[in-house]
Amino acid sequence: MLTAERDQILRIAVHDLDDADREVIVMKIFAGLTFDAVGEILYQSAKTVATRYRRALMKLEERLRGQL
Amino acid sequence: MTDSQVENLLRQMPLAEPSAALDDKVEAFMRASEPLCVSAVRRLSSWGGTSVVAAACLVIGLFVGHIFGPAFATNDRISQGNGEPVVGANLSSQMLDGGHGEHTSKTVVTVDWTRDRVSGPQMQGPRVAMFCAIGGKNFVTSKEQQCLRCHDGITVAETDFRREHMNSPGFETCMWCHDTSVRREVRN
Repeated sequence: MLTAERDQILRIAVHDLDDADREVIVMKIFAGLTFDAVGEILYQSAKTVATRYRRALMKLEERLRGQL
Repeated sequence: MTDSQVENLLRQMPLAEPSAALDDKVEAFMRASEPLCVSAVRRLSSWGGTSVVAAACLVIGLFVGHIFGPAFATNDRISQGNGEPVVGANLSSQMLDGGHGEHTSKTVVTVDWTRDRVSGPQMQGPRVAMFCAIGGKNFVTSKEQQCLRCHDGITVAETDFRREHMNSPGFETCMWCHDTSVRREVRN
């Protein structure tokens, strides 16, 4: 699979997440924030954010399964 | 595929095609807005500096008052007929008052941007789009990297954020609203 094709699939998968899932993914991975920092922004504990993040990753994983 | 594999793929995913026009717009705005925004860090440092200067003035004033008090007191007595040698204290308080007056003359307005306000109807778009400049307490250092990272075009920025926010009339306020947890001082 071409890299560009893979990236496009990833982008679509991220975009298809709901806002709540996407925001933790974006803040953690793209903005490079720690769970503590994300928690501060969202008024949630780092533990809650970490859980949300893992759930979001799992959703992404499901969406990407069979495509990559 | 494991979680870490998904993470790695996401980290490798390049940002979407950059928009030179948009970048120019962001950079122009940042240049224009630089003097308007005083971050919490800068505010603290300026208050710290002011306090140090005020304390130094106080010490110097007391010292000068102690050394030259009698001479000034003589002048006081001549001009005012007052026998109390309180010139040192007057000197220091004048200095403090002078510093205070200079500070307030800059018309500093403190603006509180709460998360509710940021997420309010005047700011359309996903919440995540509002964190490009947040960096929380590290606003000064993170402002440009954080903002341009998103504005350069991750998927969210490329679609909803760019269309709904960057091109909206509310763009001028983005650098306030993006920082949701820090009180900001704005000089008029």
